[in-house]
Amino acid sequence: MRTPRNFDERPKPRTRRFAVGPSVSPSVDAFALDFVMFTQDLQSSLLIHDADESGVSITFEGTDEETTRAKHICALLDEHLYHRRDSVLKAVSKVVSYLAYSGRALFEIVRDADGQVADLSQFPLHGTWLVCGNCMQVAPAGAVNTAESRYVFLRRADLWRIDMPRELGGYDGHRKLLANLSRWPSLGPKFYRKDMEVGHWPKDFVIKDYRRAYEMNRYRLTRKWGWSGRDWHPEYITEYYQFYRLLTFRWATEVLRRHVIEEFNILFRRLGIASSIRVSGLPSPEFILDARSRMQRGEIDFAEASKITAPPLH
Amino acid sequence: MELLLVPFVATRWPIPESSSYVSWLGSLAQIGGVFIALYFTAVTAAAGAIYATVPNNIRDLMTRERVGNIYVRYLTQATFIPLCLIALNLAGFPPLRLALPILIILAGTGIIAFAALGRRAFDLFDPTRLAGSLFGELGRWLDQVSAGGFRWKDPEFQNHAHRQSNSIVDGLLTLADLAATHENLESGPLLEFSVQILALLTEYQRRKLRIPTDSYWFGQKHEHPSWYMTDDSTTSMAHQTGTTLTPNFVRQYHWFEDRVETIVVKCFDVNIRRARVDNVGELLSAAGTYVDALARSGDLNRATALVERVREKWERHCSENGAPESPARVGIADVLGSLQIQVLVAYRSAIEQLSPESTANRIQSVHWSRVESLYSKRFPSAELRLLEWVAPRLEAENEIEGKIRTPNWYIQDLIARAQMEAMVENLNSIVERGSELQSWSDRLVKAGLVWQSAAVLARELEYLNKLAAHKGFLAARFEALNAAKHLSDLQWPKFDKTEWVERAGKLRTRLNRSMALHILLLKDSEAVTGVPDYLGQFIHETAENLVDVLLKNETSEVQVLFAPLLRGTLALFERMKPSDPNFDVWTEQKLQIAAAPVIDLLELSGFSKLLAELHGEEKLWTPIATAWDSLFPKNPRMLPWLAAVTAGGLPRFQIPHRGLVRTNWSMRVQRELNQLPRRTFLGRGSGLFTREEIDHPSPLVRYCAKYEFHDGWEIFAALYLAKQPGGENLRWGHSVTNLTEALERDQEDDTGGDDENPEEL
Repeated sequence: MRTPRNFDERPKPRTRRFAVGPSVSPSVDAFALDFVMFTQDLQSSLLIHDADESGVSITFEGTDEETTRAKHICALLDEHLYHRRDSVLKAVSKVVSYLAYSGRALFEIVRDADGQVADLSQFPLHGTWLVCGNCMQVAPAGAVNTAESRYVFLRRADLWRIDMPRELGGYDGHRKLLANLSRWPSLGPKFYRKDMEVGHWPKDFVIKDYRRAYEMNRYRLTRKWGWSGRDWHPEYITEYYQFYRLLTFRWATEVLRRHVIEEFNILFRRLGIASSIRVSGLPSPEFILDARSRMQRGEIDFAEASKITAPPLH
Repeated sequence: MELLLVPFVATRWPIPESSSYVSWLGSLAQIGGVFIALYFTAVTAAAGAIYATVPNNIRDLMTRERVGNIYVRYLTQATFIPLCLIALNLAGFPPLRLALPILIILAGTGIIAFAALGRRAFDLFDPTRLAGSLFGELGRWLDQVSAGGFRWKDPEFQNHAHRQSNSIVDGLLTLADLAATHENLESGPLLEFSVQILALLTEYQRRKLRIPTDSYWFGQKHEHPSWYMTDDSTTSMAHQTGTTLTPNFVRQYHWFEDRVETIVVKCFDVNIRRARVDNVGELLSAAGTYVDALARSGDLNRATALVERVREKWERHCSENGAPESPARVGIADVLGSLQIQVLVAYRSAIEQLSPESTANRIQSVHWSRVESLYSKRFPSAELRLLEWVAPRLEAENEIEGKIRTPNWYIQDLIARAQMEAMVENLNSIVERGSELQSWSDRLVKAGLVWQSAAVLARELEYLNKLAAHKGFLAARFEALNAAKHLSDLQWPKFDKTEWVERAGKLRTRLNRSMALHILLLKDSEAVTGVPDYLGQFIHETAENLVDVLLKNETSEVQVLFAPLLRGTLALFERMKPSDPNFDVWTEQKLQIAAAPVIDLLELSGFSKLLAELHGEEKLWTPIATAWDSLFPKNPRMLPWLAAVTAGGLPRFQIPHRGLVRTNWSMRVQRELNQLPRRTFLGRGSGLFTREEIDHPSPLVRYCAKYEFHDGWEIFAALYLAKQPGGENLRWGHSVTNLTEALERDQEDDTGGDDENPEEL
């Protein structure tokens, strides 16, 4: 199994890649601040800058040959196709970025003439239907040449699909979250902004109440994730609840990380690779939940809870 | 069945004759008219005498007088009904049977009530009696703004209640002004009014805790922000527009007390200007309840501030008015000093309830879904503010999570921090108050008011003793709060217990010196009859303090305490000695009592010699020897007199006067001697017996420790008095002789003894 470094030399995927906006309907808020911040935070929270220095150990189980094959699959998601030390982290990060924006990542398993995996090509969710594990893509007219067909049918064997884990709301829950996250304009309703632009101070509208409702909506939507909204001096919650959410967020990101790694291992098995990725040195989701419970019982304080649940070098 | 009786009653109860009926009704109407006229005559007389020149709000009070208004309304109706019945009769309607019983009851009630009301009419001459209606109204406004009242959370209603109450307070202040400026009102009525005001303030401390701390009830005032403490955007905006910074609005949590307390201070001022010390005493006694309530609610600074305000008034009065000291004046200084003790004791009592467990229980009992519940648990204002901050955040959690996530321990930690901050402030304030009493005493001495100063010192002594008794508890309570905390990363207040105890200790040392100094001042000043025996108290306290410093080897204090003690004791003997030339059993007893302080002095002098040798610190003994040395050349008969005092002042077969006090001193000295290292040797000769030796270079110490000999006066007589010129021929008693001989023997043993190398076990 060898994949040419040059993209032009690689076997072409059948599915179309084309530019689309966010997978959810456009936000009411022109800035979509919460949407952007949330998806960014999701990706950045999974980053481990240097696995060796951080004490995190990422190993492949299996024979050298099988391990090389598994690493190759991971490297396919890295644009440079180098078998770098942290290719697994890069691959996980890549998948997470797709999941963060859409709640689901779809890859076409591209094979060469020998039937070997030559590439993993991501394609957008837009215009895609999943039927009994198979996939039907209807590309927009502008995304294909006139000679090409807009319709692509992908068999289950050639499709690698990763959804958000169920604990975090799954695909549907995540899309709903993203759709609602920036539904409220962060700078106030339209009429309020208009009034402000012309120098009027709206008398019957209490912006403080609006801000509270806005924040409450954000907290409520991201309850499962425990996302802080990058608000380190929260006005509407206690410091305890802020830490509670911080631990919840750490738990959620760890659940996501492990879910993606497990999906890689499932892919390896599907592709007949007798190897699997094993990560150690990171607090497990169960450990984080236990720390949160201990904090709730008052057995450890905020500093201790934060210290023992923090990913290394994060 | 009863209905069947109606025809029977109707036939048995004839309809009254029309002429008699009309005549009777007319009489009733006339009586009513007369009563109304009489009532208004009384009101007019009072209005003419008192209310003609008063502000409108006071006149309004008279028109709003509740009982009078109800009565007049009743009487008017009772007068009008007979007139109506007369009119009906004249119009052709037959007389009514029921009119007789009903109207007789109505008229009778009016007549009987007039007797009571007549007496009340005299109250109109005292406008302060009308304050009752103001208190009632104030209570209603307080009810409205308290948790659970009608629209209690509505800022408009809160603001309205504040404005109304403010005008009620205006009325109270005007009443106080009026009473203070009328000769016939400034004594009893003003005092009674002020006592009512103090009761109101006390009650208000309780009811205030049911009002949200951010309620507009508390009014608000502008607070101008500092330019260099304000954020950049605000200052830039102000700079560009050329305007000043917008002031902040802050609640005046103590607006009510600030305004109403002036009435009490005014009453105090009026009474001290008129030298009505009884009134002052009564007022201070009532103020004690209010001070107690403030201290219990943890508002120690406000409690002490009120005491300070009253004290300042008193001091100013004393400095402006050079009246001689009297028991009453000394009594006022005493009561003023005692108020600080009341603050301390009340605070201690409040702290008792400040345990982590009780806080946890109270937090547990709060229903966060009902904000009213916060205000029924009697949280002090500082804690209430914190809980008011927490409550909306917990509500937010409930909205987000469907349940409250923040545990009670977190809220308890926040409250514990507030409690600890308040405790640190209050504990420091407690020590400061002791210092204030000392400064006040110093100022009184400068003003020549020695007896008042002594009263203040006596109260300071009580204050510091109470502080010494409670300081362990107070510090332990702080430690308990500190130990119960969960979050180590919060900014917890620091309390340096050692430094705090040291500060209190320094105060005590300063007080001891002041008391010693006062012995000389009181001895030389003109005695004031009817005041406590401060001279005796200070001599006794100084003697006790001298024992303390001797045992603690505090050389610097010995001279400061002993010189005044010596002079004071001798003066005390002169005052107490019997003047009867006939020497009988009663005279002998009186002499023994008078000699007791002198024997105390000799005892202490002996202890100083013993303890100086024990500690190897000559400075414990030198000042005392010097003081005695200076006495003998001036008084050649002093030595024989002392010998006579020791011989006659100590009865042989009974416990001498103040014997228990001296025994207590001896026991303390003995405890000190018992700590000396001891060595056991084989005895001389056969070696079957052992002997114990005290390991100390001083023969006196060894002797006293070995034979448990600790009669200080005998040590002093043997080693000092008997060695004075002429002292060797005086009779000092067998024990003194024995002690001298024993010490000489010991000395000889040390210099030429045959047991130079005893075998140590």
